[in-house]
Amino acid sequence: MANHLNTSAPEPEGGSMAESGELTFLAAEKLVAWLEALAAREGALLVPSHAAGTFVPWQGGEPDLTKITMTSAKGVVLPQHETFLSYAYDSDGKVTVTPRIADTPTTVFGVRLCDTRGVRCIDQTFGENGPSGADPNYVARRDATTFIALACTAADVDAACFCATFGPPDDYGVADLVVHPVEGGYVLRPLSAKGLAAAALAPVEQGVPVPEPPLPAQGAAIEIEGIEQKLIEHFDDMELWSDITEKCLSCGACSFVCPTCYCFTIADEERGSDHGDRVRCWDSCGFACYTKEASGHNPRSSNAQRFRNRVNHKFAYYAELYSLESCVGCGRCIRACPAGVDIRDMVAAVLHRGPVASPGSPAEVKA
Amino acid sequence: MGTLVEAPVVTLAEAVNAGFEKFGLVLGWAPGRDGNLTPTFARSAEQASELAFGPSAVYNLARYVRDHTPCAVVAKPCDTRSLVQMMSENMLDRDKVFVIGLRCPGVADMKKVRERYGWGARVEQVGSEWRVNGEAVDKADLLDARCRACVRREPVIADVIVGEPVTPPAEPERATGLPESMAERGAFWEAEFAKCIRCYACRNACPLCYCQDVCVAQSRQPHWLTDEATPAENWMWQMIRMAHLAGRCTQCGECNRACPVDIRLDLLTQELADTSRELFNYEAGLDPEQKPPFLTYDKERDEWPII
Repeated sequence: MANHLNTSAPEPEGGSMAESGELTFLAAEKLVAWLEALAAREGALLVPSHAAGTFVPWQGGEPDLTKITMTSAKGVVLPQHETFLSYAYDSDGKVTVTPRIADTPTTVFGVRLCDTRGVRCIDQTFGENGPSGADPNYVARRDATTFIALACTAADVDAACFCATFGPPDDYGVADLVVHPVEGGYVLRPLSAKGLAAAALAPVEQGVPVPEPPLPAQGAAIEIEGIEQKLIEHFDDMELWSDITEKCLSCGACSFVCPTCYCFTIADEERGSDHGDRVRCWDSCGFACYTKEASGHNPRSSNAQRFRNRVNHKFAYYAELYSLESCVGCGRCIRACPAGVDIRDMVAAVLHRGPVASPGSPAEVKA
Repeated sequence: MGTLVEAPVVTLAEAVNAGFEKFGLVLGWAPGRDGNLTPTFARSAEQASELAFGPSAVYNLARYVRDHTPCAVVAKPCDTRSLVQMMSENMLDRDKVFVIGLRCPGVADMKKVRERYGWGARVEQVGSEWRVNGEAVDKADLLDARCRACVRREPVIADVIVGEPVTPPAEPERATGLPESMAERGAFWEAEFAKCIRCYACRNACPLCYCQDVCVAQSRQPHWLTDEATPAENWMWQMIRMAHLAGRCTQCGECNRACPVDIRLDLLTQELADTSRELFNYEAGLDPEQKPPFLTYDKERDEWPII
């Protein structure tokens, strides 16, 4: 159990209000009226779409609020691709550089608590207190985003979910407002100023007792006690890594659906002979090109080395830096994997691996 | 259509043992965490004894063969076509693979199983019926679309054959859903490729996408496409991939199955196969000796169907 997570969630980036408002009750038939009010605000309102596999602009009507989306909500604050500066040469060859920051106010309705816990992981690295300082594009989006999370019921949890591993059911992550499904409607729980503003637009029932919502449902916990140390011990145990990663196809599906994977690549894209954009796009440590150097050398040329990085980043490197695993147990990587890889099997294999033959000395590396 | 391959008919256990004795490594499927079959690399007699076949054996293990030769591989008829195509392109040496060819009654659409019964639902064959979590289900309903379209229930190549003969469907189903008018098709594909997250699962699951780590998608010079996941760039990516698979794709269906966002790649691979048949009278993956149309050049030929 990650007991260091039993502390309350860090405050949202860029806002000092952890002020939580009173619980209110919204009748089920008034949900669409609330969404209309949220959509009438400046900016965008996104809702889950299982057809699209992600969060899309609300088109009216009842959104599909069953189960979790294939991809996470991280793209709202860390888009798959974004232009962060444009450049242009004038006829004298002088270059003009224009920074681009997108900060359209965006409300995302129906994210899950695994999404809001995932954004908390990204906050540690890209937010105000990140090791390299704030990432201006990320922080601008983050400040402009309101996360309205839907608490899971038992029907939403499937056998790929394992979120109970990483914290209690009432760890709301960076949610601004939590919507608890209850008999006949929803209980709204505002957790920030942005959440209060969103809740204020809800046509809630006045003067009725608000039912006490049940704790959100969670997927079954897995054993991770001691995983950080065990991963470091078995860093050079390539027999283990080759064995447990053998069926991995080295695609990026797990990284790209993951709510915490934030690796990116930057490229200058010419749009014409005299102008272009600098773009940042998601990248994955699963890809062979990820660590390929200009010389042609690739320090992680094998699948085993690449997947070792993925597991170590989630459970050792990141955990050591931030006292927080960068896995939230949403199970998206498990559902998306075309080869049936289950990160829980890997964690278990590492935990139950016997001691290394001679600690400290690299084991024989298999080709 | 190719003639039926001749090889001894044995049990799966006998076949796996023979493969293990020959190469010490058998690529097969064994039950995973949820009881469904998952790709498994058997390097001991004990591991080999766990290999099994059933409706959840959806993975085409031909994809793994090129990185594991010499080895034995358990292959459905569609998977044997991938192996044959690799042989006809000199990607795979016949002597370095022991093919355990299955007669195949078809496998399940695992996305449908999981959508309907929840993640973790276990599908298995008991006798002639399929069961999900122990309850009998309508097999025809859960049969994968690629199996409903499949007329080849016998392996195309095999060192040993496993299973009873299977009667192919009288009327194979074609992939449907492509709008008729070109304008509607444009909108259809734009919506499909808006979903693409450029994870390259389609490429990496493909037994014939042999470039893999040196794919043109990652090339800066020439720079055919950017990493920006816009519908146009995503479409460009898939068109490049499809162009490289023209006259080669055996419609094993793995790209379609691998796609986490369910882009209708089956419509594209079907089009490739149709076109290859119409223009070249060529069907990929049926004979190791046949030459793929884009690997031939006959200067005496009068007419070229394209150019």
